[in-house]
Amino acid sequence: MRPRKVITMVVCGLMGPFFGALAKYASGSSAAAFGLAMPLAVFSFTLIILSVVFAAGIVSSEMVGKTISYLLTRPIPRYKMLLAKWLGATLVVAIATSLSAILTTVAIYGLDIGSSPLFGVLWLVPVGAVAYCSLFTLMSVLSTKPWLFAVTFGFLWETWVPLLPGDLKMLSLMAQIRALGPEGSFSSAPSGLAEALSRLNQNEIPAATAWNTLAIITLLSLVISCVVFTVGEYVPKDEAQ
Amino acid sequence: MIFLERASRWYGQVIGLNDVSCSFGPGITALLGQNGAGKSTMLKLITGQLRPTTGSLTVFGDAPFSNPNVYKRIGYCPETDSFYEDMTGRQFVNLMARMAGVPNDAVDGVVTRTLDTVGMLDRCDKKIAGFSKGMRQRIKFAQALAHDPDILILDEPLNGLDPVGRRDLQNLLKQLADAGKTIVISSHILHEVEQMTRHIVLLHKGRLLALGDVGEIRSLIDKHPHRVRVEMEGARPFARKLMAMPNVLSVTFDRHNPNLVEIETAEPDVFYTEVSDLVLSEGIEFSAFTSPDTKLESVFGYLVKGGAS
Repeated sequence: MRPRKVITMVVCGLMGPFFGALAKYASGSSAAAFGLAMPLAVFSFTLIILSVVFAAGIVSSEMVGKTISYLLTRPIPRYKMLLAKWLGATLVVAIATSLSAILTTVAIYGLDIGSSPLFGVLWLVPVGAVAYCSLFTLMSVLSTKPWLFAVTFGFLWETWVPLLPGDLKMLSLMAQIRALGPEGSFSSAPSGLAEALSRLNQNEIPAATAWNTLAIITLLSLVISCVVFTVGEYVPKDEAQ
Repeated sequence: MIFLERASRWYGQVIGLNDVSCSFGPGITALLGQNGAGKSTMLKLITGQLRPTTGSLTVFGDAPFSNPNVYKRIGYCPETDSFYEDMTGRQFVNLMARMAGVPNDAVDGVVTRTLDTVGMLDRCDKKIAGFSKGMRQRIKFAQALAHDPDILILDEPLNGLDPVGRRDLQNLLKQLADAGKTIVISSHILHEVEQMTRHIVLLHKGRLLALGDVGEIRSLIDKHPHRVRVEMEGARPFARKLMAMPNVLSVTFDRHNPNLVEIETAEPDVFYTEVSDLVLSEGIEFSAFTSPDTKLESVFGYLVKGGAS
């Protein structure tokens, strides 16, 4: 793994513990700090940013670095190559985000993490990593600037769409992931505009719907990625002349 | 082995390769052309990174695009100077060899041998980021060679190599060609490939300009004026005699050397015969008798521009 990516991973991974400690200090309540730090810092920031860094660049970073010609002239079916890279990215994101979640809990509860709601939400990290990495892999295969789309999706779409009225929140991956978590242990108190919007949005997503939606998005993203990567031409722009 | 049948490749409105038919077999074939001639496009088509827009291209009877069966038998050395910079040379070649199908239990030995072959064994354990251009070229070549492919596609492999490195690589390519490998090497520096092969393919603006042996291609330009340089004592009287020959188009004296004269002829074969007769009958002695047009560069210049460079 490239040093720049390792540094990004460490810095992003430490955002959760830092935010958690700050929230505990400000609120004085471990439960309130956990309810704030886990969804906002770990899931909505660390999980997404690491997915952007590791999955959105699966193809495009090889294009930018012009190393793609080495890969595409190896006797390995392209879909296998893509799936291997996706799996690697997903594992890294899942492990790093899980460590971040554990450290965040330690920053709030100390070493007594058994009394925290951590284990009720920790298993959602790999689920989220699989879903986000699949979607961002698709962006990487389809676009030469996937980071732009991934960051816009991860931080703009995923912040506001869950707050939209009616069933529109179904369009958010994060809303689906949160719907899988235990009630009350995985929610933050919105404020300002978000609070006003959330009042219009009382519908809950059933867990079965969330599972189905996440599975469909993941599978569709991977299948389309594999097909497009197999039939598409990937030559850096300045070489295609 | 490699067949192109009326293959064309468009990039939107721009044509990269235009209706090219040719084939490549065992031995070294030099793909020559100026920048933008379509050399890299052709190599990317052969290595299955691009598909022809029209026409067909086969390697061992199969279309190469996204075809692992073809890739098993191809070693590709790209023109671009790009690597996983944080890896060492050995790690990079090792990774590429594994991905090319070299068995795990053999890969270390294969990589060591290949690095030794390209002269990088003593320097391969440093990070690629710290390598010189010549070292990077050698590592690029090593990754193409590691899995012992039947076909080597080399895009400007001599770029950045020092004279010793060039000679070593040229010798190595000759050995591989003698062993039956098909080697396609692109270059825009003609004297580089001239020392390796006489079999060339000339591309210009995406079109196939000429192909075959340098000598055969040379015959194509017989209709163009051919230059001969003669250096001798008393060049002026000799020049007067030459001017009387019907096939001599012009005679030019060198501004700095009055003993050097350049003759332009429309019929080189007739000219050489007549000059031989003249030399024998008059007892003329030359200090030097050369033709700049026997160089491949001039052949290329004639075909591209209609005149020698």
